[in-house]
Amino acid sequence: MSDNQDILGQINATEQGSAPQSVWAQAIGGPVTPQAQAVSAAGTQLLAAAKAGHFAVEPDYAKQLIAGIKSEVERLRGLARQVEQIQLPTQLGETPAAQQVAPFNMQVAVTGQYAFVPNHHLAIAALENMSQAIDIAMGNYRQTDDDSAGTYRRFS
Amino acid sequence: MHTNRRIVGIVMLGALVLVGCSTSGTPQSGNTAQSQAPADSAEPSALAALDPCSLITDSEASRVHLKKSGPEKPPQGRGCGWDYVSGDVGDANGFSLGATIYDHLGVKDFNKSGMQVQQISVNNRSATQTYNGDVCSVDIPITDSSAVTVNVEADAEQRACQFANQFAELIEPRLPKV
Repeated sequence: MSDNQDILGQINATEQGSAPQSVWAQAIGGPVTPQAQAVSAAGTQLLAAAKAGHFAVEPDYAKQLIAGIKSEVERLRGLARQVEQIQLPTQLGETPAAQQVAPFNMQVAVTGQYAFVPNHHLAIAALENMSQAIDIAMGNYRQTDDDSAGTYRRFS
Repeated sequence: MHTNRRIVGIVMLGALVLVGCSTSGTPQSGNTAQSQAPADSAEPSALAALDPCSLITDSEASRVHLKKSGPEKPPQGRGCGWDYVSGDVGDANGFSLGATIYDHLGVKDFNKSGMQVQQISVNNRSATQTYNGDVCSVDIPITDSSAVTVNVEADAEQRACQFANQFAELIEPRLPKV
């Protein structure tokens, strides 16, 4: 079906485009927990340390770590979709109960003190930073290895 | 004896009436082209037979780099999930996709309070797009009391909704027509 191929081509094009920079909790409006902020900061610091060459990771181990992090990000993304679906079948009408419960769903998801969405974004961002940091650290390991080999050759 | 024959005749007549009723009430499974039948009685059997994991074929999934994560069970729905396997290390361009069939819940029954809601068209079929700050959903009505939802989690609203619309267009031709 040509329509089918057209839409698959469009999906591929969207995949190849870069995700626009998104502003996390501030744009959404929900508060983030101190723990999520700490995790986010840790990811940022790890990436900075890797870029500065402060640590190296052996390639085989690095690849395992990166695969594990990617799997965790996939799990979190799937969880976010399921959290969104939990609130859908709330058939409460206009009763006083509805006025209490329906907004509570949104608080759990987005606006409340421990809302899932803004903290979830920070967790994914932190994992993405960690993954990049480990990838850079893998390169640092190879560089260190090459430098050592060059030193040995000079003295052999 | 005459009374017995009369009783037998009445019983046989009753049996014929019952058979006639059950025959005319038998649903036509697998046939969605019942344009004369009321929507609510014609479509549920076609929707009930639909496997959400079959809404995207393995070939299509491979073509757009999706990995099927498998069946999902959201409240009152039957779903299936896929993950986008991106080549980049940080996975900033990754996304998660789901398709859910609601056999007994219509779009009008969904609680969308606090979300951005838009009326859209998917292959000339009216649908609703919503965004909750993280996940973008396209809800396609099948009947007043049944629906199919495509939802996507991605790092930005524009991207999440673009994917949700595109996958809804891919899936829509496989859904029963009202």
